[in-house]
Amino acid sequence: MDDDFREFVNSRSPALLRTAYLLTGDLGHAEDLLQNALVLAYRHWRRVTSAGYPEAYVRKIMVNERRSLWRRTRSAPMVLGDVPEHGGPDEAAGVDERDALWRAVLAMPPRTRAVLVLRYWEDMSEADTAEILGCSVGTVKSQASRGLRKLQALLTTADSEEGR
Amino acid sequence: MTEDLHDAERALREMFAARAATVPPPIALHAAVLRRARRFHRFRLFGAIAGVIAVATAVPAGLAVSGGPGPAPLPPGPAALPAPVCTAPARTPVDGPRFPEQRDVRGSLGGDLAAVDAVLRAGWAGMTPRRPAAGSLRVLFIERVDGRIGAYVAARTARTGEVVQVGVDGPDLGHLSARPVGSWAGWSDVSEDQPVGGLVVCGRNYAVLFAAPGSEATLNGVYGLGPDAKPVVMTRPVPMRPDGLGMLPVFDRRVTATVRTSAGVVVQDRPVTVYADAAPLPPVADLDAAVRGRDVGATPVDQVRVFARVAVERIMSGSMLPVLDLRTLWLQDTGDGLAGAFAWTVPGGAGYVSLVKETGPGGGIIGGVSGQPVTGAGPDDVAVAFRQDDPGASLLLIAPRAARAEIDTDGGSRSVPLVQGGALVRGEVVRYRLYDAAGRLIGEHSPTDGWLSDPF
Repeated sequence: MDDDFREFVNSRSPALLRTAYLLTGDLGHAEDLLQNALVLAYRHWRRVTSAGYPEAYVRKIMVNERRSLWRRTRSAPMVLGDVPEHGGPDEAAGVDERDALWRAVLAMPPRTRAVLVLRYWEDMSEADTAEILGCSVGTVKSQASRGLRKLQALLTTADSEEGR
Repeated sequence: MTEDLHDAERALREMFAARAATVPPPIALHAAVLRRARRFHRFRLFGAIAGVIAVATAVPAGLAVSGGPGPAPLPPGPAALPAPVCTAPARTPVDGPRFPEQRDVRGSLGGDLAAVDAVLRAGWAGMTPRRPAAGSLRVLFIERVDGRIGAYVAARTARTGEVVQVGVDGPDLGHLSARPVGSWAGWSDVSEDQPVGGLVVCGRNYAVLFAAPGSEATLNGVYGLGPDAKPVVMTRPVPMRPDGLGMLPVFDRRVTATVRTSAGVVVQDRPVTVYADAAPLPPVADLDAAVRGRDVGATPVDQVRVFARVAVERIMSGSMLPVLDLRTLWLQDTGDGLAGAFAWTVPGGAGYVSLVKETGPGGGIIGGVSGQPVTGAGPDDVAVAFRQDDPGASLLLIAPRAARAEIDTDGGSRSVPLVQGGALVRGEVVRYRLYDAAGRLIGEHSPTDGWLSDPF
């Protein structure tokens, strides 16, 4: 069991950490989220592997742990706005379009952000996304559309300001 | 999906890919997961018992349960948050077995035998459910930091031989309390096996470094201010005592430590344990008075104070830099729940504003920080506008000095009163002017001034 689990962690954790980071917006929180999910998976590893797709299991724990954490603490993570997340030459060059999009995604409600990450980072289908989030396909569609519309409005504003 | 949304989708995918590419691969994750899984198992029962004992013994005698006989007192205000433990009443001296006399304890108070005894007893009280062997009880260090006391106490459990370590802290020797720090199998020299730790002292997180005398240490990933007053990540040397102990406050969960001796690097980039439940940042201004003085309609004052407290916690834990001068700009019941705007500054004077909103009963409280710093000579000079992204949605104006605003829309102008410095304006606003109570124009703003995005 330990060898299987070690192999799974070593091979899949980089990808899972990237997803956790996109869900949380903070590397420290992402590491915590992934570790918590892996601890849960480890405790039920036989059951997880017998059901197949352990990565999907861990991803589902991460998404729902993230959302339940919000509910438990009655709060959402702070969006750090103009405070750069990592200092360095890139930040000194100013806020570019990707930074603006990133901040906009972080400012979205948890479920909308989760939908965007699962649909457009993980490339999951609407049905699979709905299954992970425990909602309807219609909700996934509306959340994705709403999120993209906000981002599109941001891009349009940036374009028009560039054209001035 | 329209072509426009395809553009947004493409940009989103590119942004996700760029962001994900910055994530370093996890290091030693498998071992960390196994440690946490085992620790979870060990501490599950211990934590529950210790929690019950702590609640039973630490509740101040003056506190009554809300709804019980007599008037229900207000919960602690936000001002008490940074140092909740330090306001606890003095503990009754803990009786225990005869503890081993200990000398040569590390730390600035390590040579004070009375301090060693007080810390031993507090540590013993914190370990009681684990039944450690009294003879194995050992103070690892006692340090006075920022006027408070922080210490580690370790012991071997009588039944399993497992080592249990607790952190002890308090404002003085008469007000000490303990919390579990960790446990592991087999006795070992802490300075060799656990050279990097974390400790909460009066609500603030500290990195704790043990090293051989003469060692040097740095904290990595610390946020500081760059030359343009923007936060930058830096490495900061830790002032080490001659006995090899170093403690420094940490404000960010990603901080790591590196320890070097003359023989080379002892540990490289070892994560510092930072406790999420501790207020990670320095004291804030007293929000209590600000909350008490505000009319929030029929909302019970207890609910308002809880809201303000959660808001403060979120702002303080979300910021990468110490939060200074946190103050309430505006607090109202919007009909959908409480909403508040809080202004704060970081060292160097840069100002920020956070909008926090209650999304309804049981729906949670959501916070967002402004997209850019706010400017203003003083707390009352801040004027900000939060605009919702959706066309035709509302604009939230906050300007404590203003009594009314004149709003320009495509359909004309109208006057809007500011209630306690704020107003929620429906429709597409293109410009607004602010007037004080005497009718003087005190500001004129358009979207080019940098209106902020309403995160809700």
